[in-house]
Amino acid sequence: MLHVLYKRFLVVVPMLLGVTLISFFIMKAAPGDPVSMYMDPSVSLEDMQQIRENLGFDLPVYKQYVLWLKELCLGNLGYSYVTGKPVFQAIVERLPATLLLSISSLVVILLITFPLGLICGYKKDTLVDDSITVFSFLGLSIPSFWLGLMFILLFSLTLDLFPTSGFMDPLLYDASIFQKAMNIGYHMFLPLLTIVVGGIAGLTRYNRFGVIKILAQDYIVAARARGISEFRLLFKHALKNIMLPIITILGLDLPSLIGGSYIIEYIFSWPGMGQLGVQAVFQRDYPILMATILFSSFLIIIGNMIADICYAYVDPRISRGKERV
Amino acid sequence: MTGKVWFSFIYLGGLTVLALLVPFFNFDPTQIDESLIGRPQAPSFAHWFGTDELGRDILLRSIYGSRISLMVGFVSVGISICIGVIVGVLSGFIGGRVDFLVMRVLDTLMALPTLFLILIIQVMLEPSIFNVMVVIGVTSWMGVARLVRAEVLSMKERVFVTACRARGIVERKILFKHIVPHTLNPIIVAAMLGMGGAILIESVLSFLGLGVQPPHASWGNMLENSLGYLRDAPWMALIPGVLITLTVLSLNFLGDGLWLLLDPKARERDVIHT
Repeated sequence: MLHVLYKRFLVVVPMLLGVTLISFFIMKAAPGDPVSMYMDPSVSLEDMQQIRENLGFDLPVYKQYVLWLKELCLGNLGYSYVTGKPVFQAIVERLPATLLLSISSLVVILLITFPLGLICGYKKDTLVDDSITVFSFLGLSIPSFWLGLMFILLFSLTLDLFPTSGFMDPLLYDASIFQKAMNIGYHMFLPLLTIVVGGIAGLTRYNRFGVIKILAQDYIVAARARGISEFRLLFKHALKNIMLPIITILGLDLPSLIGGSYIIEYIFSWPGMGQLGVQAVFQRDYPILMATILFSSFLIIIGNMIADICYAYVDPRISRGKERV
Repeated sequence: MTGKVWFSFIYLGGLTVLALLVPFFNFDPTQIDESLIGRPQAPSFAHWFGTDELGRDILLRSIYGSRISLMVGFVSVGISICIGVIVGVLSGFIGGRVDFLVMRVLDTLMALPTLFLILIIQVMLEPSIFNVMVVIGVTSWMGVARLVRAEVLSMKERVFVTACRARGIVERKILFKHIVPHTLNPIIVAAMLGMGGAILIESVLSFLGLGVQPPHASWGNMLENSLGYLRDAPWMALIPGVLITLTVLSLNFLGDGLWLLLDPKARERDVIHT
């Protein structure tokens, strides 16, 4: 187990560095001069030049990167062009809402796709399998921001069942924790539903193939021949092997899940990193943009690492040193 | 299975024919009906899909929008496949340290939230159809590269490659004449799925005002226009959304169907990684 962690660590560190490098170059490539962004226009050109030198803008690019990385490690990501607030603080404030929404949607997607994939694979090429496949493909093909709009139109504007946007009623400021949680859940329902509809297809499909593959294996055939009940066969013998590929796919799906949920956050005014990022797009607030992409990539890399560790935990072959293909 | 594929063929075929032929007729999708400004009309015989907030015919704008979507799908997937195949083939065939390095770079690039990256790049560039296609293309080739690399790696070990070597065929020829053609099937499938993805991304970009600019019609910016009329003129939001969904759905069905058709062993083999 330990050397799995060690190996993952060796892979993850260069990836994190790579991501910081990309974010740095996004910042460098951004149009406009960052110094004049913050300065009073009345500051003279010579003073401006002095400020630029003080800030290290005359250094070679690689030195600027090292300086920037040092500050990054200290939690300094610069200041927003628009509000002037520290970027790090702005992002950290938004993190809980994003984590809540993305982790909840991941859990719901897993809870739904697992049985769906099992049914599809077990009853392959039947009407049930075909209908589930068609519906999950439909979910995959619907533009999620449009689906969100349609949900708002149907559930909020027409039926008045759910709120169109927001995180929690401001009136509940002093309410009990339970009431607050219920209210947040109530606000989260529509964005969650939108993300889940789009996320079901891929995993169900993979899961279906996984089930078909496992069920065709000799050990299952042998177990069947011994007269083991179908229920025991599926849940005792096949289950663990079916779970394996799902963990990997979940890791691979993370970037699109997280990136996609940003538009949903924006549509439903969910106060997460995505909403912050999309607003920053409109305001050309490059420090915020850079930080958003940096933090989301960190989340994705960490998510992938957790997936890999889970994989090693579920599959003892990995922790005994055999590589996964 | 076949039902889904037929549906996709007919739908996409019809859409392509309409998209190709519409410029030959004397219609103007930007024509404004002054008497209807601010009063979108519901679908009727005169305007089958209704009119939008400027009195423009939504059917006509939808057809012109399909030209954009199909073009974005084709061109950006073309770009991503070119880059993906070159990187994948070289990385897989050269192997060793180069392959290791390329794969780590791919891992890093794949850890970026693609859609958001595209948004940022679009903000820095001038929003235009051309930029949308190029940006989508150069940010979505990593899946193809992985796919092609995996295929090349498995082909390299096959007996027929050893046989080629034994006959003294030069490496370059083995690679391009004997190995690369074998990677074609998964590429075609990835292209279908990639086109669907590109069309979705274009719609998001145009919806946010970072893609196709008005007065040109694209399904995404038609949705953007519909925002102020969600309650009063829901057809303005419904029609482009349904068209995007059907188009992407057809491409996904075709990709899935073609995969099983081109590779009958796929049913037993591992799942495709795109």
